[in-house]
This record gives sequence, structure tokens and C-alpha cells, in this order.
Amino acid sequence: MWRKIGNMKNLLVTILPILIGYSILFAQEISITASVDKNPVGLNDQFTYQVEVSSSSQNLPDPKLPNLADFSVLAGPNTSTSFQIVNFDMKASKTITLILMPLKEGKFEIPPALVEFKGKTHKSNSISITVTKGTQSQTQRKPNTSQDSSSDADISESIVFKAEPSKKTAYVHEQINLSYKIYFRANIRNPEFLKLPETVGFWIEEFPIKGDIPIRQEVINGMQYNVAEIRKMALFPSKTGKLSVSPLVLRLDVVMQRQKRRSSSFFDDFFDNPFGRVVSKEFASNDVTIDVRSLPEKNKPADFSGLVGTFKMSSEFDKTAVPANEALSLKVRLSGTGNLKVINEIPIEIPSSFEIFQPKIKDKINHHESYISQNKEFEYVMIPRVAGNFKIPSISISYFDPLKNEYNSLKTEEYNISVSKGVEIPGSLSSGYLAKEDVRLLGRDINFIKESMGELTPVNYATYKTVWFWLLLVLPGIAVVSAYGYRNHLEKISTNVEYARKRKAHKAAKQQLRNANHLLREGKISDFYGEVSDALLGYVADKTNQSAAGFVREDVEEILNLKKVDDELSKNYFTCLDEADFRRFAPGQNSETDAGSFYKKAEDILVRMEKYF
Amino acid sequence: MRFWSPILLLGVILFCTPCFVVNAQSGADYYLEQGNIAYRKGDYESAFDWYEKILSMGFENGVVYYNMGNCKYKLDEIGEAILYYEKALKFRPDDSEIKTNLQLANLKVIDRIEMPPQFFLFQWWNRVLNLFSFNQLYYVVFTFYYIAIASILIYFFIKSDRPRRIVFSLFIVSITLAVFWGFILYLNIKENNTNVQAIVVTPTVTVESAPEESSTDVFILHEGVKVRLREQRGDWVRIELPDGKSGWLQSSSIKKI
Repeated sequence: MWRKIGNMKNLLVTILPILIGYSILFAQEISITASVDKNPVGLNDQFTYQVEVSSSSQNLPDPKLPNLADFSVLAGPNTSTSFQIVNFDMKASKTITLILMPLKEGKFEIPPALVEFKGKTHKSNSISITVTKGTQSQTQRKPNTSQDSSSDADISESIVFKAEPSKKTAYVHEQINLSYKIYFRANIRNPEFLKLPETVGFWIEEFPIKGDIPIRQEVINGMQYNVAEIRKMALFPSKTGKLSVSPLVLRLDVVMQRQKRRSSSFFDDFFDNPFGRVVSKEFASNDVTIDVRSLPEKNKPADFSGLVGTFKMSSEFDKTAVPANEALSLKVRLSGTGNLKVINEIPIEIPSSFEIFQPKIKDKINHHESYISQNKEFEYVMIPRVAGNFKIPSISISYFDPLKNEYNSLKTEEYNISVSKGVEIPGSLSSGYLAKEDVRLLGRDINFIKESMGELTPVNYATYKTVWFWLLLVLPGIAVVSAYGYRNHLEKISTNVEYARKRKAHKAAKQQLRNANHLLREGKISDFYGEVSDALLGYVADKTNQSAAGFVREDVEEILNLKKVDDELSKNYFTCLDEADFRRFAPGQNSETDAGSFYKKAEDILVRMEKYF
Repeated sequence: MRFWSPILLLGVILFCTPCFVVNAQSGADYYLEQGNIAYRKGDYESAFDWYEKILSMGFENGVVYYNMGNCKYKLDEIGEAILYYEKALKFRPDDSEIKTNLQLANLKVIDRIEMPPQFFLFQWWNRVLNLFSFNQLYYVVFTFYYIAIASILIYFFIKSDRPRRIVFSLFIVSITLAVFWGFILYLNIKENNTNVQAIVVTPTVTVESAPEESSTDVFILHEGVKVRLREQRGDWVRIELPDGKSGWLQSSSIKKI
């Protein structure tokens, strides 16, 4: 029924219906755009030229229209103004509409319209318009016989579905935003995703679309389109090479602006669907190919773990002084844009006497207009088991900054943790190592102190440093050596005559002198001299182990020379001998005093002689 | 007379030295008694101070060190306790009370240093080395030495053949034993003077690879570990563990036994 009434009037759509609201205006900023409703245009076709000025200011100036000498103005300029408040944002717009008809074929340029606002002149875009022979609208209308196809053509002109990546080349792990936009000039509803894109080689983070999709205006090829960004996602390539994202397929209900039947009655019009005919149609976006480069090898840090983006890091200990066996917590916060997901632990170095637990990770993703930022907080709980001062070295994480094209590294500060002695947990650390016999001892108290002093030694006392030690060590040695010598002496005397005579010579001579002294006291003076002479001769005979009998003066002289006896001593010796012989045989003149001094002399000679033998 | 006088003087000096010791002994006995009283009351800190006074008099022995170790054990200063027990054990190597307390203190040490298994001959040798304390070694050496001296003297002056042979073999045996134990004594003295051992007294200490704060950490030791000192450079000492690990640490964190 509805379809039958499909004969539409070629009423040019002048102003596109405002669907949801405008959202692109900035405070106290003015924007001016120019657009045409069709391009190209047939020679005999009318078209609408529209200049829209919008601002948040209420007093909108009138734009100055460009020179339109190439066209004839059929109607207008008509001015319409609108004013709305969206989210407490005032927005006013003024639209000037002209219905134009080209005068000749060819390419024409509609120069920009100008508007003066706060002393500044703002320019709109210029539009190049192609005028073709014949009626463009007629060619459009030609397949009118088949309504669907005719509306298809309309649809394909008025609705474009595009996938737009924020960049076509990127580093591995770098964030790329991919937005799916519908450019439309018709009324559309009920978008429905039929096929989601395949994104092999990417890690995907979707931007959530909340509530109403904002609609913006954009002029493409001089035609004004409404633009709705219906889906947006962040892509993080995880490998290098040319990676592609397959098209997103979407179904839309398109409300065709009805062309009013030329020969229609008022009622026909009335019974037509006021919103036009609804056509359900599938749209596929274009393929997107992204060239993913590998990260530069130059200056690549050794600890680089694949973070790409811009990041900040901070860390915090809840306390830096703690008793042993009490928990400490270290929070490390990483934030920024990029693939923070790859970081699942922080390379912290803690002393071995700290027990550390798996980190608690809080992950928060913030979606902004054009980027995704992430906060990741790692909370490490650790328990120091032993007292002492510990150094927690600074944590360092490096990342690649694709904007600056360089590697950066983040460092936290260094911490000093002082652990005091805490409450001991029995067997907490050491029990694991205890041997069987050790377990038996556990819980036993130590032995009591010793109460009696015992012997004290001076500090640093060492026995081997004392005199006693060395005396006790050396004296017996000396004793042994001397005992050995004495034994040898005894042995020689008993076995060796020569040795015995020699060793006994002095003693024997002395004995004889003592005998001589006795004789002197008894008054036997000549005997006395005889005895002294015997002693002197006998001494030399004993020393040389010769018989004293038959010992002549020459022999003695020879011996004394041989023994290198001092000349004076040997002279004395012989004078003594001579004197003894003389006195012995001339007794009359002998006095006791002479004898006494002679005795002394002989004794002296013997003593002095001893050292030569 | 001239020959004998220095010996006489020496004798007098040597005879009087024990008198001084005896004099000091009475003071030390008083300190020990005061220390024991404080210990019995549970005032381990002042007990330790009393015992320390004996050391500051210039005297030491196993009993004093043992009691000091007990005080430190009760004060939960395990490193110091082990230090004093080890010192005490040097004076009384076969005192079972000291050994037990040392063992109990060692139970509280965190580090367990695994000794590499020793060849049985080395084990025997070590047992021989540590069989006697210093004093006992001196007695052993001198006993054998004097038996040897006496037997050789008898040997010199005995005429009859059979006893001479017996006496001579006695001499050989005793002089061999005297030389052997003398050698052991020498090794012990040398060991004592060159291989100084120490105990870690701070709760934890990081052992570095070089005598600098900034060098790499090799391992961490905890209070009570016994280490061997190998080298000294300024404030730093190089230590070695029984299992062969070695590194540098600051000398303030250890105390020599």
C-alpha cells in the first residue's frame, strides 16, 4: 500500500532534519560552512546552496555571500536561525539558503562565504561544482520503475560507511585508533552490527559508546554530511608486517525522504508515512591495512619488556621502619597510554629474608576522546623475617615512546627499610632446616652459669710466650748434652791411658807440689826440690803420654816448642827446673823462705802452662 | 755467686708471678660472685657488666666467657652469645655444658651452612688436631719430653745391657710422641694466630664482591654465623664460609672469637 504511493515530487531537500543535536561547536568560537545539496548538478536542475554560521554566541552576524554570477538565484536568500541548549552549552546557528540553477555547463567554483565576528573575518570552504548536461535528477529518477534500485542509488550516495585508522604505519605495540563512521544525509536508525571485523595480530580495546552517538557535520566534496562515529577501538599490533582489519558489516534502517508524487492529492500526501519509506540495508566498511614496523634496535635497553606508549611510574612504601614479622606494602603505580597490559609484574629486588607475596593488581582503563589511558597499580605485600637495615633498590622499567621515537626508562626511588627485632614466631624460619637431634633440643633452656671461677689466665696469655716454657724446654736438653759429655769423659778415662794421663796431668802435678809442701814443712828441703822438679817434668810427660824416666831436658824443650809455649814461660820453666836441680844437690844454702817463693813460682808456671796443652 | 745471680733473680720473678695472679683472683672472684647474683635475679645486663669487669682486669677464662654467653643468650643477642660460647670453648674444649649451650644458640641462627662432606682421613686428622685443648697439649708434650729426657739420662749411666735396651726403646717411643704432639701443638698455635674466626653480630649483613659499598651483593648472612677471616683492607674484611663461599663485609658487623 505504501509502496503504491511512491511517486514522489522532486522536492529538494533543503535542510536536513536535525537528528540528535550538534556537538562540534566551541565556546565563543564561530564556524562557517558552505554546502550544496547535490554535486554534480544537471544544467536545468535547481540546487540548494547553504551557508551555515554557528556559534555559542547569541548575536550571530550575517554572513557575506560570495559572488554567484555563474548561477541564477531562483529563491532566497532565506534565513533561518536556531538556538538550542545542549548540556548547558548554548548553541546558535543561522542558515542562509539560496536555491540556484546553473547557467551553463562546466566546472564552477563557488568562492567562500565570509563572516565577520569580533573583528575577525572567518572564511567558509569553497565549493567546486560540476554542471553536466541534462537533468541530473532525471537520471536519478530514471530507474524509478524499480523503486528499490532507485532508492539504492540514493542510499549509496547519501550514506557512506568508512573505517578510518588514526595512522597507517605504526610501531609494534603502538596504539592505533580505528573509528567507524557513518556519513549520511538521510535519516537513519537502528544500526546493527552484522559482522565484527577480524583483527588478527592486534590486541583490541574498544572505546565504549555511551548513550546517544554525537552527530557532527562535515563537508565532503562540498556536500554537507552528518557524521556519526558508531564504533571506535584502539588497536595494539602485536607483530610486525602488514596487518589488515577486515570490514565491519552494519545494517541500517534508512528512511528515504519521500519524493512527493507530482500528481498527488493532498490526501495522498497526508497518508504517506511522514518519515518517509524505511529501507533496511547492509553496509560494509573498507578494509584497513596497517604497516607495522618493528621497534628500533638502537639504544634498546636490556630490560625492555615491550611497553610502547608514554608512561609514568610512582612507588610508595606504607612504612619504612617495621618490626620483624610484620607486613609491609609496596605500591607501584604505572599510568599512561599504551599497552600496559603486557606488564604483569614489576621487577623488584628484595632481600632474601623478606617473604613476598603475589602482587594485587588493580587495573583501570580510562577512555578519553581520542586515546586510552590506563592505571595499573601493583601492591606487593612483604614480610621481613629478620631485623636489620635493608636497601630496596630502585625499580626500573623501560618503554618505547613512539612520539619521540626513543626509548625511555622510568625509575622509582630507592628505599631503605629498617627492620627492628619483632615478636618471634617459633620455628618460623629455621624450623624447616632442623635436623632430628636439633628438634629434640628445641624448647630446652640453656645450662645454668658456672659458679666457681677456676683458674684465670691473663688476657692474650699464651704458654709458649713465657720464660718458663722455654726454660723447661731447653734446660733438660742442656742437661742431656752435658750428661752425654760427662759420660764420654768417664769412659775415656777408664779406657784410654793417654787421655787419662793428659786429663790427670795437672791434678797429679798439683798433688806432687802439695807433697813437696809437706816435705818442706818437715824440713826435708832437698826432697822438696826433688819433688817440685818431678812435678814439673811429670806434668809435661803426662800431657804427652811419655815415661818421665829418661825424660831429658832436650825432649822437654822440643815438646814445649811443638806446643808453641810462650818463650818467657818456657824460660821460666827451665830456670825453675835448673834451680830445683841446683838446690837439691847443694843443701847447705837452702833457706825455707827461698823454698816458699820457689814453690809459688812452680805453682804459677803449672797454672800458666795448662792452657798450652 | 756471679754466675748464679741472674738465675736466682729469674727464679724470684717466676715464683712471684703466680702471687700476682692469686691477688687478682680474689678481685675477680668478687666480680664473678656479683655477676652470678645478678644472673640469678634475672638481671642479665648487669650480670654481663660484672663479668666484663673481670676481662677489663686483664684476665679471662672459660667460665667467665661461658657465663657472659649465657647472659647474651638470655638477652636474645644470639650472635654475641655464640661469640662468647666459642671463646669459652677455646679454654674448655670438652666442656659439655658449653657445647650444649652453643648448640642451642646455633639453633636460632637462620643460616644453615652445609659443610661439604670430608674425606674420612681429614676427619680423623681434624679429630686429632682438636683432641686436646692448649693446656692439655702442653702437658702431653712436656710429659713425653721429660720421660724421653729421663730415659736417655738413665741410658747414659746404666751399664748392664738389658735395662739399657729397655730404657732406650722407652726413649724412642716417648721422644716420638713428644715430637708428634709438639707438632700438633705448633699447628694449633699457628691455626690460632693466622686463621682467625669471627661471628656475625649484626642481625643481617650483606656480603659484597669487593670491599666497596657499591659492589655487587654476593649473599646475605645473619646473626650468629661463624666465618673465617682471610684478609683485611681498611674497614673491610674478606670472610670465608666453611662451604667455601667468600666475600667482603664491613668489620663492624663481626667480632673475632
